[in-house]
Amino acid sequence: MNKILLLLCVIFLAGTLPAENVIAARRNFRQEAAEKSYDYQFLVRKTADPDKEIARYAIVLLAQHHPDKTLPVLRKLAASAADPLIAEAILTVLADYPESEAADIRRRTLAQCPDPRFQIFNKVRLPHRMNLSLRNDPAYDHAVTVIKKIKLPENNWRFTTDPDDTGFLKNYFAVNFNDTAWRKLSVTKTWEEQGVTNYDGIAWYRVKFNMPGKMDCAGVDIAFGAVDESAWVWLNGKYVGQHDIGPAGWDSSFYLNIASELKWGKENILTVRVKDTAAAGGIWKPVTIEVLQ
Amino acid sequence: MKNLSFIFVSGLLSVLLHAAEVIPQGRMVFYRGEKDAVVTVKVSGISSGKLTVTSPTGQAKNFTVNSDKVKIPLDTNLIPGKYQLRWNSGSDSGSIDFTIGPEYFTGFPICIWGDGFVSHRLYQSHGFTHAMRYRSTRYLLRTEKKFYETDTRELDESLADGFIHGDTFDIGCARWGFAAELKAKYPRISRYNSKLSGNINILDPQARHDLENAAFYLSKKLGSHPAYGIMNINSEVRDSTMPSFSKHDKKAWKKYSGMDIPELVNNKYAPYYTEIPGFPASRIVPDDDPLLKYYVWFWKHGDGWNEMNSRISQIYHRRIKHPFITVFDPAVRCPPIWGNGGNVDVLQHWTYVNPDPIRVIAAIDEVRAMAAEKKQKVYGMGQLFVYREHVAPAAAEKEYPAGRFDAIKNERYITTPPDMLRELIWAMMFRQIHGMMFHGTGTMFPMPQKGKYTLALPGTEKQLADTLLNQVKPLAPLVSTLPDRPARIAVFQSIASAIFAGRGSQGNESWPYVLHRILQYGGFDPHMIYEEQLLRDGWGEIKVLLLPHCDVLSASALKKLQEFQKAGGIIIADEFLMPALMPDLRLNSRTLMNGMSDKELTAAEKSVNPGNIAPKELSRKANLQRTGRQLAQKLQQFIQPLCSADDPDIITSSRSGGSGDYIFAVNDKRTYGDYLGIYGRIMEKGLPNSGKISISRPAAVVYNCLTGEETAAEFSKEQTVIPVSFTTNDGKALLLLNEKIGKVEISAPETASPGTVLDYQIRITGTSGKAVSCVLPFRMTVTYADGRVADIPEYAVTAQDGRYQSRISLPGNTPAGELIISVTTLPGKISGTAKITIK
Repeated sequence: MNKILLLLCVIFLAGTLPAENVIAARRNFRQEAAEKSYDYQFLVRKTADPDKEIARYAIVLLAQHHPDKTLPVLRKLAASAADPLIAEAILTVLADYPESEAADIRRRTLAQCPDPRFQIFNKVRLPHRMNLSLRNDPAYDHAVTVIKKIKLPENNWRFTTDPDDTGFLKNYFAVNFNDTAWRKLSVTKTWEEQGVTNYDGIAWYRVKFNMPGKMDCAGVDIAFGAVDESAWVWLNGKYVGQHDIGPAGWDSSFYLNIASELKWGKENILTVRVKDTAAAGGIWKPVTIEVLQ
Repeated sequence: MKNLSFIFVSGLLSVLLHAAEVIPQGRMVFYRGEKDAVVTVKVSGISSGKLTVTSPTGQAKNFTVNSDKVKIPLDTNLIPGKYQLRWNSGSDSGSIDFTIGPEYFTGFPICIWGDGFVSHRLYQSHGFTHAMRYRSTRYLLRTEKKFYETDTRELDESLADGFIHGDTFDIGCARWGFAAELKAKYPRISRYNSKLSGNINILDPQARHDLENAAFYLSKKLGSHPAYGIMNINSEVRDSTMPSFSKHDKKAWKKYSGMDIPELVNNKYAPYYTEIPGFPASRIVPDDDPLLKYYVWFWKHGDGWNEMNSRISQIYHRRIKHPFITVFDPAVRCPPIWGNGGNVDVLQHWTYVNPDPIRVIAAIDEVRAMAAEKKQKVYGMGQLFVYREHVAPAAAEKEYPAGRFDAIKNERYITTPPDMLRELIWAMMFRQIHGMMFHGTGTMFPMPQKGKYTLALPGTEKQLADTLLNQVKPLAPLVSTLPDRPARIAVFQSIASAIFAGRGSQGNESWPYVLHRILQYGGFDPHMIYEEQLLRDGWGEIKVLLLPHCDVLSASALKKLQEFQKAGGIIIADEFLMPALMPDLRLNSRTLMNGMSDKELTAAEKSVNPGNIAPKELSRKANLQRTGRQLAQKLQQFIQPLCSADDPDIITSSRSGGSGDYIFAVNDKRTYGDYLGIYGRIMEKGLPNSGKISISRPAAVVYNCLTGEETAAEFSKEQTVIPVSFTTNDGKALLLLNEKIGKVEISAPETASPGTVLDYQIRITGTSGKAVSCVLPFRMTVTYADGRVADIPEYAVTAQDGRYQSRISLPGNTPAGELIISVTTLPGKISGTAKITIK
């Protein structure tokens, strides 16, 4: 009981310490940690310091100087990591550990501190890949001509907004994803022009189209007339590439090589994730498959 | 008979046709003392082959006429006015008119940026010395001749009045004329091989060549005219810059780095760090990280515009013989990386009065941080307009209660509130700046044609004129001479956070600016410091660093900041600080960027809101002030302001002039007014205020530098406390000295002759008889025997030893009699005179 009272007193005092004492205490901690050569026991003790800045920094120093012995400490701290300062430190240092060991601690930390800012630690990062069109490939030194253009449908693309940017985690790009609940939109006008007003952010488009039988060719591009502003493209569930040059990209055409992902003579499913940061947004010029020779 | 008549008439015509003619060509206006001035005349009908020309001072000179042009050297050292050269060919005689304008202006430029094609006399009467506009690049169109004639006429008129005109070399990103042609010809190329709509791809050697040629051509067109004196080079060109993937760009990067352009480069900033695969969770970026390296290169060299602007500046300087100033703005609309604008002479920002006019100090400090690499000069730049959408509801939103407001319902740029404008101008003088620039003439003056700018509050221009003529002009030599004190507390800006988290102010109202203001309200006089400066120069005298938005840090910046802390430095950060650094104090940006609730306001804080208009704006400011004061208390043991006021609305800054210290103070106490304040989004009306300013130094006397009066103060060994009062949002410049100013001594010869050089010395002494060892501002007039006042700079400052040495080049027509040099110190109004007999 006395110990609890003492602890409460310490916590209370730390909360009411004059600022100059806080500054001095933090300065002392840094100095002492260095003098003690970042001693393990000292740092572990400090991870429970009532001054959360000291506790947070102790976690960082611990992982930096004693990486092999840090995980058990983190596991213990995660159970009571309600303070965002502590949670962020745990989540940050966890990133240097194998996912098999880190996942559980991360889950517990996020459960304790559901600060939306920290969802980024949980986020599966978008893929990045450049399926360079033959016409933009410096290694391909032959003349490139378009031998056939196949227009994709202009209407009835499936469309949904994704204000929380969770579509990727929900596999919106997957072949078997059920998009029937999504509304239908044309790709010749911005989404604002089709009733999706006052929306800037992430949105997704999906469309099915059929390809003729295989043609003899050097490459196949998917050609976008313009996407306002940035686009990430999947074909048949496989990531093809992105066009992301920020707001300046709103009226630029671009090509991505889809030779490996395209299914000749079959139905194909195209998914486009669009990001718009200002004004109108969406796929607003037709999309074409261009067969190259 | 008919034949005789014919012979008579044709003989008469022949005589008439062969009458001597002397027709001046080219510029006929000169400034006093202009060297190598020549009047070129076209001559015909001079059968003698000789021409005698007599100057206004009676000196005759003979010229042999062996072509149709004669160049007559001109002695320009004449009292400004209109004159004639008399010519005589033996059989005929006549005169040539010319004008001498005042001595060339090399003082503190006060420039209007975009003059709206209004006469310079309007600007001059309001205190401006320069006017700048889009001018010569029009010559690249086919209508060159028409523009050139108008321009040279205008420059002549300006030179006669001692006013200087400027130009904008606006080719980099303009959307018309030659610029548009170049943009189409040399586009930046996206990774996807599409043309980008931004600025010209200046890494293309041919584009560089075309732009250099344009600079060569244009600098020659008007560059010989002395009234052509300032040039803004490619303003805003970097707003539309983008990484480019042409062969030139790829080659340049490869040459610099040995690498290909990193795959994630697409935009002018890196993807947000959470989107970058493998980005360190610690948010410490290695210095050799390819993306970091690429973007630092891109903003410093890689888009080519810094080097191009340097080159254009160099071309103009090489071809123009008279003083010429090159400017780049807005110099901080980019990440906090040195080099923006290249080697132009002057960098400047663009700053509005709202929400708090003192934010201009943060803007100047930020430009100073940018200019620190090459120690370029900095101008203060104020907008004469506000965006209506920032200060009043949209037309559709609400009925406008005031009839006057109907006229501006749909206007975008409207007149800035006058009290805030005066405060902004005073705040600019808190720092060593070398000029001032203003933009938005259409919101101050009626324009010949209705443009985008609307004169919404007539009369504001009177306020502007009063501030410029009566406050800025007397203090300008002081403002540009007194060095800033070394920083003791500064707001840090990280490159890595700008590149990977889109941080940085871009010169706009933002968290770094708000932090800067919090410190000012706390009585501190903060600076801004860029990462590069911290790494190059260390922290110097800085005791406290504020780290706004440091989500990501480069490894070297982190190391330096840790060293700073280890050496006793204090770091104050926000909720975004990466975890590898422990702040000594933490502030929450979200709560500080917003206001408090009405309930949280104290009665004192509410007292400026008698009409009880929407309190949001009031609480926003009160929140900053309260935080500033609390911060000052928290830091008291570690750092104390050198100079501060007991009232948070009285903002101060002090600078040393030697043994004396200057205090600049401005009153920020404002309430909602009846111009725009009725909507509760801007506190525009200045309120009276009073308080006490303390400075930690002893003194014997405090002077007000504008009224000249001694100011009552409490003196002690440790500090001087000065009671001050303000009637509205105005300012004060106070000087503290260890002894009173006693005397002004002027040493000059007893006699002098016209056309010679008169050397003189001013020495300002204290009551002890010793020279005052401080920079001192004074007003000087030189009056000729006939009562005319000479065209010399009216205001100047002594050196730190209280002395001033100068010379007057006496005009050749200086009237005989007594010439009087009168000097009056601004502080103390102590006068001295010297009388010189002109023979």
